[in-house]
Amino acid sequence: MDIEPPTTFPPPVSPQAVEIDAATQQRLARLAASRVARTQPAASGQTTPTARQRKRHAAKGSRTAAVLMSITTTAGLTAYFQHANTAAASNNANTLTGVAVASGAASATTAAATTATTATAATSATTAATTATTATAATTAATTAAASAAAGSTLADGTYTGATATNKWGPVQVEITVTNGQITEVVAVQTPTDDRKSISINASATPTLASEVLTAQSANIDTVSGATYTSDSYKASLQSAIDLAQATAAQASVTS
Amino acid sequence: MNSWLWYLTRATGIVATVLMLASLAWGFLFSARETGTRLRPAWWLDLHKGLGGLALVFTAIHLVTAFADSDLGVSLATVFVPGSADSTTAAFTWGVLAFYGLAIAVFTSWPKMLFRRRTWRMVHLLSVPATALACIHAYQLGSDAHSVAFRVLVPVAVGCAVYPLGVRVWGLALSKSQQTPKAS
Repeated sequence: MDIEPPTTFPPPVSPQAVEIDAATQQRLARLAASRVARTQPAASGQTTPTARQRKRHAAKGSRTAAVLMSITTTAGLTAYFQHANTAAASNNANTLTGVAVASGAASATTAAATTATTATAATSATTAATTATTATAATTAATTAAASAAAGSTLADGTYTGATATNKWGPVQVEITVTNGQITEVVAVQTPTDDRKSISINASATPTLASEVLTAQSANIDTVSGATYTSDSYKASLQSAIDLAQATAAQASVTS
Repeated sequence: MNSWLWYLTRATGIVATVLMLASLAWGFLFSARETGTRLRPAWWLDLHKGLGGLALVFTAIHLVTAFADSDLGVSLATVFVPGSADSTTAAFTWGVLAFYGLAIAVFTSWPKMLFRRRTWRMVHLLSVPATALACIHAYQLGSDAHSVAFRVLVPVAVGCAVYPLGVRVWGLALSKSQQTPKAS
């Protein structure tokens, strides 16, 4: 049996076939009215937002809240970092740990270990020295007395590594080389490397401090502006190395 | 003055990274249709765009303050050219690449209709490696990367970003398996 396809799609439906109740009719009327209101501007001049405008402002309140929260968090973190910096500056004094060590030069008779705070030297020809705090240091021994020390110089020739001075940014340690009783080379063997700012500051400050030391021949040098903590630690470590060189010279003169 | 720039650089870096992670999470939840029934999808999409734009703004502030702080020694080349930093080159490079990835993802969202859907999606997914690179940059270069707060925050943030990613990938895998005809 063949079935003829309908000539139109969808097939026409007679009005009598569908019964629409009153509630549905009211709903359809409301939908039609709202469609007219959306497509035509109101007579009073007020325009309803277009579909594009409604889409753009779908999360306007949440976006505003996100902006405010981000700004508030940034301000809060900035204030916190400032507070933490101030607190650390007041609580964390520049402290020396470890010992100063002499090494490398054949002219020194002994090597000494200086304590962290008083920089007193305990010298011995072949033994290790123990510090007052924690550190113990095996010191090097040499065979001959320093010529410059014998000649009355205050610093014995050799290479001296100062104690580690730690500030809130990290450790600083200085090594000096003494030739003919004069400081001829200063090297910062250890500087803070925890963050980019410290690396940058130390890269510019340590050469300045080294040149000041070579000029002054002592630890009485000026603080580099913008590198106060590094300068203070540098001077503390340098002083311990100079103290060791002086103690070595004194020991050499006694021995001779 | 420089100290304030330094603190602002750190703060904006942290906030920008969190915003990137949040935007990523919002985007994946939206694309996975895991937006729930209470809030409209348009709201999710709008907030996703807002968070991405905000992340770019804070990244720009991060770059400007880093450049303005003379103590940091960050030059224009360091900010814009990958691999040009004189020290910690890799960490800087990740940051520069993350910035470019984020900028591309944000700016191609506005003229989205100009691209083919597939092309736009590939470009937009650059935001995923960009966010990962930003996190690596923060870990390698951030002054606060070794603090306790950072160590606590990282797993939380990564979890918040990875969960929507997992939901999205799982949804894709599920739809693919349903499309594949069963072998007879």
